[in-house]
Amino acid sequence: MSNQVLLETRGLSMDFPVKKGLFQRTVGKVRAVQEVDLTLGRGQTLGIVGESGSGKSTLARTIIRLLTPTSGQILLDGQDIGSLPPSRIDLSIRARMQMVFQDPYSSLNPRQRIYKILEEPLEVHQPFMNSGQRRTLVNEVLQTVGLDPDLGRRFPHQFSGGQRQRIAIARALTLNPDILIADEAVSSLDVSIQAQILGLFEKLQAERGLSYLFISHDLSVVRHISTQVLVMYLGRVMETAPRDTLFTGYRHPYTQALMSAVPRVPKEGVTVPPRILLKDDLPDPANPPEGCVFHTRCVYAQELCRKVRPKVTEIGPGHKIACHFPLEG
Amino acid sequence: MNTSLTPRLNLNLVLGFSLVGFLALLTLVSFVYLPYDVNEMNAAARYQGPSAGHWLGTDNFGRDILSRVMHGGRTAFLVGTLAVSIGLFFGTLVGGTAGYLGGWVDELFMRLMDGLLAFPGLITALIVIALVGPGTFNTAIAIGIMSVPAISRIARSGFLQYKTIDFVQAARTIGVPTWQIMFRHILPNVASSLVIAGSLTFGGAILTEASLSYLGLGVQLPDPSWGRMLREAQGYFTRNPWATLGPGIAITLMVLGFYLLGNGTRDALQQKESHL
Amino acid sequence: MKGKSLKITDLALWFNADRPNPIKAIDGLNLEIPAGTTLALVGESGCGKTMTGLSIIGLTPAAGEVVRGSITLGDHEVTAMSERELSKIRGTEVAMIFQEPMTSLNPLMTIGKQLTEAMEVQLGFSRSRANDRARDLLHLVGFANPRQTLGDYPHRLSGGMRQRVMIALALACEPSLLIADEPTTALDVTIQAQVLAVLRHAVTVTGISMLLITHDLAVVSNIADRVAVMYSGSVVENATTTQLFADPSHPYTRGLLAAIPTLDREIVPLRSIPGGVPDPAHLPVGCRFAPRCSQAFEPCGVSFPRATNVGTDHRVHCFLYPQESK
Repeated sequence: MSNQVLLETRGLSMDFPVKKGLFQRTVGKVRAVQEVDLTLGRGQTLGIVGESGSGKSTLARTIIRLLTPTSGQILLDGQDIGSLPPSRIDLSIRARMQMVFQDPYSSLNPRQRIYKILEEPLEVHQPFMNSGQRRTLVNEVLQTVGLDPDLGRRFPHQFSGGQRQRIAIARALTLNPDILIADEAVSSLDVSIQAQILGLFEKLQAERGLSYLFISHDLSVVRHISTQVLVMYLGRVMETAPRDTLFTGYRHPYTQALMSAVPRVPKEGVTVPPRILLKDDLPDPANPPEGCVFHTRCVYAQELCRKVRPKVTEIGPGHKIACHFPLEG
Repeated sequence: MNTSLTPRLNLNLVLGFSLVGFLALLTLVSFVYLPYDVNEMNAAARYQGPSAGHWLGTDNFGRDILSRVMHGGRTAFLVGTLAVSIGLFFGTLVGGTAGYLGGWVDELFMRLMDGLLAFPGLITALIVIALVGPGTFNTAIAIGIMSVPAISRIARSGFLQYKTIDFVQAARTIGVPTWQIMFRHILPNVASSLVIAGSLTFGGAILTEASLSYLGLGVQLPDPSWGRMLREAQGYFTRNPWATLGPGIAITLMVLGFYLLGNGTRDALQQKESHL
Repeated sequence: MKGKSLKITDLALWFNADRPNPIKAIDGLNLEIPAGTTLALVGESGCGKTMTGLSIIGLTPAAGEVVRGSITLGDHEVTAMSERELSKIRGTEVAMIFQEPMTSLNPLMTIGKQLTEAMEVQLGFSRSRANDRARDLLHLVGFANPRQTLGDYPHRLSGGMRQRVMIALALACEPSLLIADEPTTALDVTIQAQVLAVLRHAVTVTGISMLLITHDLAVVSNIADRVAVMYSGSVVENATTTQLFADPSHPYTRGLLAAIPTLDREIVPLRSIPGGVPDPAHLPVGCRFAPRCSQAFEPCGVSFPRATNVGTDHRVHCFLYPQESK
């Protein structure tokens, strides 16, 4: 694996207007993603964790350009793809980034046969390809994800959740992308099926050198699959580090709280760290706290945290943190 | 877990289908067989009530009412089909585009539709007829235009609902052109609610056609129309009240039939979708 | 308040029982919860765990029919009860909380009103007595300012707070058994930790019995005394929580544990269980897990394995262990 940078964001922000009243006047904005810097290396997996409202899904949809960022850059191989409107994005860029969604029931058109679903990307991107060539490619990709090509004649409702997720992955693969964005792609699956799909992701990465942006609320899953991890809270980056550094040497109080809240399967010889129960809930993202966005729930918060927002600073190789009072390393 | 597994008999659908089917059959038969020529007058047999020779009686010229009702079915189905087609086509185009694109397109299109809806339907139709003149086709066009706003609202809400669904988002990340997303991905999913709206509109269209023809502005001579037959029968109601019976019942059954058909289809689709 | 014991014997709940190929949601389920303890019922979607909860409270869908077996709560035989009798024990003997708390609360009534109404109707409490108890209950489930919460409407509360209100509501009429069906599945991990802590505290303080239904093996370790693993309509392994994690014995339980990514284990490729759960309308003959089991051998396809003791208070339905004669 090389450390070549494939995808990078700089100061990426995404606001949604809050509209109210008879004339739908804009009365405020939800700052879903705020000044996010991230880097994804070729063949690597960047895991993005956060609770609902952390902005991780919006981040994914902004990077894949379903949304137009309010500010900041999205660099794909050094080229900024963040400024054009979504409908003007070049097909050659679309082909390089594909996405797998959380819910395999709503991500497949119930009125299309599987074959049709998988053929469409080819029709759009390779208009001169004949139907025989398309058939060969679709059959290949079905086999890649572990499905019998004969199943192409069926409709989505004839498949189980795990099989549907395989089909969704197959659709993302037909264009042979460099980057796959998985937005909670295994969250709705039963554990035994989740393991199958995680295995498929690992196999594809090994075979094709794919790079993943792997978004999940589940720290255990992220730990399992990522090379680098980014922790988000209320639209901002709290901490990012290489996988092993993050899980054994985290320095941010939010990462600590998140880690301690994960239910553990008891294992001999492992002592589970004491729980840090966070009080209250996530603040309203339309009205985020002043200073550090986490200070309202942080057990270590001090006066400075309420007033000044901490900058993201590098404290080790690939390890960055936004906190005035990092935990002891 | 899926638990409702016993399909219930859909009475609405069965009844609606039978009524519409019965009238459609009468209309089809009229192409090969009619008891009497529709315009054949018989001075000896004017103002007759129902009898073995004339099941629905005769009118002021001694014309056979059953034959005229059967023939009038052609007009009703023609006007209904044309009007519903126009309504569905433009309604889906306007509503679908407004719903999917949103923004100022949505504002503009839907305010236009609101404007059209502000006129009572019959007035809209009267204005159109005043502009283009009466006649079967013009009546159909007028009624079609009249039904565009209601259908466009249904199409808009359907497209609005589906534009944020994951498979549409997936198509966008692939780079599928907008029109293709609208017609290939969304339209088939919205089609069922549009078909229901079309069926309900059909009944309304026939009623409006009857009203327009009753006012003498719709279908013109010599085509028999149920609405105009009613109007004519009104003129000699005291001499032969039976003459209103045939066209009256035909209109009622037709409107009721399509109404039941629409509701029945909705029930059937809901039941089917809960099974998926 | 004191918990009562629950005993389910050879329960079978079928859908379309009068037709060919009935859907066997539950078939041959045995379960026991000693008074005042918590049992976690763990399984994947479609294994019948929710239907088990609903059968205990008599709320299974109309198409479902208990074709055999019994459910005994204290001295009540639930399967023999009429709808009238059932509605009398709901809330007062057995209460249930669900995954989605929003749909279970009336959006137009204050929290206080919803809490006190049940007590006034079911227990005949006076307004002021019900109010006092409502305040105590909200305090029990971790509300710092119960007086204020009583006057709030559900939409003012977050998901975690609503689920805590649901716990208070379930406890309002002093039931002897609480059924919690995936109570934290819809919640974020930090909120899940809050709610689980509250649930555990409330159950300990009141001393009632609890059936915790969940798909997440990791959730049960901190809260349950015993764990029953369910697969395709029946329990395949039943043990104390400590025993189950120390010595998982059924191949399905082992498979599940190997499939869960954890924060503690070395990172190795996850072992997945091949295939999917069987169609409940066509359950395999013999052991229902056999078609997916790497250790299946001849007898597995013939008959359903009986319970075998593999340790103190640890029972497994599997032919890998010597079958005891009954």
